Amino acid sequence: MSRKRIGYFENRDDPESICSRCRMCELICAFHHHQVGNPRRGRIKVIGLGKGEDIPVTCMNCEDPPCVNVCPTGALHRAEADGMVMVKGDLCIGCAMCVNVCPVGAVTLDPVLGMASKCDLCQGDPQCVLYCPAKVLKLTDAGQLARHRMREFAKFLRTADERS
Amino acid sequence: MNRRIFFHPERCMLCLSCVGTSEIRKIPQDREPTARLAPVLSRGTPWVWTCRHCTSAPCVEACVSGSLRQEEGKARVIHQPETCVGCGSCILVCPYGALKFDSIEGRVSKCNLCAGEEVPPCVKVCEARALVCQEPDLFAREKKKRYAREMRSHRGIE
Amino acid sequence: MSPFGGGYAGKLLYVNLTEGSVEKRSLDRNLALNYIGGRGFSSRILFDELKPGTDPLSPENRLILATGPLNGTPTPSASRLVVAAKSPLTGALGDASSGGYFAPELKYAGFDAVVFQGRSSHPVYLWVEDGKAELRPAKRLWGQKIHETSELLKEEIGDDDIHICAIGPGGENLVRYACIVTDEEGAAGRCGIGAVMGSKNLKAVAVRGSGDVGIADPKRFKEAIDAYRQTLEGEVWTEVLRRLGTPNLVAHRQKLGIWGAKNFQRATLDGWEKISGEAFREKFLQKVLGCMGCMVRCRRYSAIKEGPLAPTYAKGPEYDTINSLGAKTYITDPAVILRAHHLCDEYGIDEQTAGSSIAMAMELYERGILKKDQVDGVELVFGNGEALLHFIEKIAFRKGFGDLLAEGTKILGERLNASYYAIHVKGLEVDASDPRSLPTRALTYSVATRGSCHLRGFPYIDEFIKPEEAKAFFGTERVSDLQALEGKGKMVAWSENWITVGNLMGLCIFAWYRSRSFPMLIKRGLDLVNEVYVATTGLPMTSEGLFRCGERVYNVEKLFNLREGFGRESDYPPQRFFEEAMPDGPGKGSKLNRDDYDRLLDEYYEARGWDKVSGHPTPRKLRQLGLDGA
Repeated sequence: MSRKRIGYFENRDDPESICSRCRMCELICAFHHHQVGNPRRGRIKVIGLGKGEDIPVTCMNCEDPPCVNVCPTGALHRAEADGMVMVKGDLCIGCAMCVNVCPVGAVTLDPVLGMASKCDLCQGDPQCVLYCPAKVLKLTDAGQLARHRMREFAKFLRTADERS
Repeated sequence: MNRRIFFHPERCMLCLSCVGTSEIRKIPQDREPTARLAPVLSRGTPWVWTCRHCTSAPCVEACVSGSLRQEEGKARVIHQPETCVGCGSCILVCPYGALKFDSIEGRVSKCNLCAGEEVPPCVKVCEARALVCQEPDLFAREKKKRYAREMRSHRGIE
Repeated sequence: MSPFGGGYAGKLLYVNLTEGSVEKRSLDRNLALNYIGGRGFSSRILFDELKPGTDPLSPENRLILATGPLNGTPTPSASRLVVAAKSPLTGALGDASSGGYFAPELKYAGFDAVVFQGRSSHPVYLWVEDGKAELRPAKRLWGQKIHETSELLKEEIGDDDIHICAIGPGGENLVRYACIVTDEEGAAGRCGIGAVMGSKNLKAVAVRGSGDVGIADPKRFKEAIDAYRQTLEGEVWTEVLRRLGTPNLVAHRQKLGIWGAKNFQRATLDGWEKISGEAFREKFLQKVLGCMGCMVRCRRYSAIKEGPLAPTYAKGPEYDTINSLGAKTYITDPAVILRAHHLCDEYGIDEQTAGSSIAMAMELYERGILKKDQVDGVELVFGNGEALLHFIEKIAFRKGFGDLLAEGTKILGERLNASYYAIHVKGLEVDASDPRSLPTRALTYSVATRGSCHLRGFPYIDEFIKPEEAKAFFGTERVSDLQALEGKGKMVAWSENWITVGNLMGLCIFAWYRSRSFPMLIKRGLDLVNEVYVATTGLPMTSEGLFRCGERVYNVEKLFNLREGFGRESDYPPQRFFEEAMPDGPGKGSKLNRDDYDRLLDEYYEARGWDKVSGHPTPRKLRQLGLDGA
């Protein structure tokens, strides 16, 4: 069982394989879900940290999701045991407790509907992955992400001498 | 988007200044002996419960007298004490216990997000900035930013 | 209720800075159908609202920020903002554009354009958010450079997820070619629109929007943008631009020998490899950047981390950076060029005019026309990088010799009785390349409605059009011959109308226009764009209709300029190109021929339906475009 999420895999050795802040992920996400142009209705957001650092952030599909645990109506739920956490729109009362407890800020209130809004992996065919021109977003799981970071750290160790 | 009250439990010192402010503060047309904030401690983690001003508030739906309504633009859920009959339906449906019965007045009281104030006093008085009044988008974005800093695969390398 | 099915916000924001008032007006459906948006809105509004002879730095000038209907949608590279005013540098119609994120955000905030008039009594900035706007005091911001201005604004508003157009000290000090910078990164550079903003005491416009940009037919829209994206995926230019950015053109300029190096005294550049696209990529590139919704990602994010000019972090350089700050001044130190570029962006002055002005001064100094004591005691010779960095700051604050440099090459030439060395058309400096060996380019640059500009037309068609295509479209196979002049007037006229369409939509032409196939110019540039436009707005439109809008806008711009006194004589290249031959390189010996150029211009005017003597659109042409009332 590998719980799926959208992961950001950059390759710092390739200037074209790092998030370029084009925000197409935000645009296509909002379009896919609401048929409009409005990146604030997207469920993924590129966070700019300055000095050219840009990281796309979205739901991590937690093992023990605080959003599901806190939701008073059951709107935040998991349909399948190994599936993605979803929002049942007709149950959501827009109380924003899920927004309050999400550790990474992946759940927001949709600015137009006032309902909880989060990544739903687009029925298994995530659009952000498809449309990202840098190809740095992947449908992945925690294990793959961990291995990627191990590889990056190993590269760092290998070049430690040059830096000192 | 309209502001809501959010809470950062990791910052809260349980000083109860927020409760004090809410209780002592007088609103012209009403006496409120009942606090609009309810702090609890759960296995060492504090939480201050407030009215969440839900977009599709169950209390608004349940209210028989029409005393509870969404403000224009859905900024807050307002309670009008004058028309409240004190039936208590709203208290039954609220998941957060945000509505309390005022036995002296015979009606319900709840947080109205202090319309007319730039920042609600309970937020202003919180030294730890555990209570914030923010747009949900901004609140979530600050957490995204903190997480993004951790996400950088070369964190600490440069 | 919006009369538009999507795309347009349906509202224009009118700001009177004298009165301190803000007014929302509805977007007229006919304006949208006939002018589409972007440059179409700004040119038409300037034409309607400005009296001829208006002083560009007076309260009567308008400053316009205009978006297109596709800004804010997931259309590829629909990121461009147009800023426009009567230019204080040229006295003609002026506009510039910038990518990034500002134009989409203005749409999310519910506005298609903002029109400023008047002058505020004290420094202000405009805060636009979700259907509302207000003027706020900018006392703390005035005097700050671009980065600091943005930081202060974000702090004041309490959110860093806002988008900003700002001027720096350059605009505040009314440098004639001061620019507007969006989000600290993209300069809407040319024509001195930043000075107009400064003259109005307007420091910045900040915007945040959470509203929808509607899409009338989402299913049709998705098919259209997917088809559009496919044409970009297969495009060789997409790869080149992603890998090297616009600096990829450095190698091309050297190969053809068409640099305007040393103020157009040299056509080839010794040491060009040090400032090529490859060199910048290897030395300074951190990563590529993409504007809103762009799959090309031609912007560079560069950093100087070692040496005397470290630390410098900047978006850039672009090809025009390297041309203006490197080739023209004959500087081949890439760190100096990048640093100079960064300073121009921080002070808010156009790097192209800055580089051209300094280069002209360098030539005058080397010729003894300018003496050392006139140039602040600086050894102002070609190749002096320190001098370049020194004078960029002086220009921004109008200090010392910088005060004269801040006027641009035309006035520099007039003041020093050295107009021959001022290489401009209508007051806007010749950028891009030396057109002496390619007369078609000379025509394109010289008839452009904002002054010398290589982006107003698309003269490269003759590099790749096939003879049979040339015959079918322009009436003669000779259009496919790079050296021939027949049919080129027609070609340039067509290309101007065609390229304007991209500027109307809010599309980045770098993603939209590049091709080595003439049929693709029509397929992507008109047919697919029309498909996206109709799917987005629900408005009735055709490829021919779009092309006609491009032509209409171009004619309105011409009418504006004619009204300001720019007749046929203003559509000529600088005298130097007729008198001096290219001194070196593959084009050695080339110079423009007066008779040839006259014939080219005649053919161009005829193709446009303009009177040959005056350049004025004929009554027939005006009727055809629905401009007979104008």
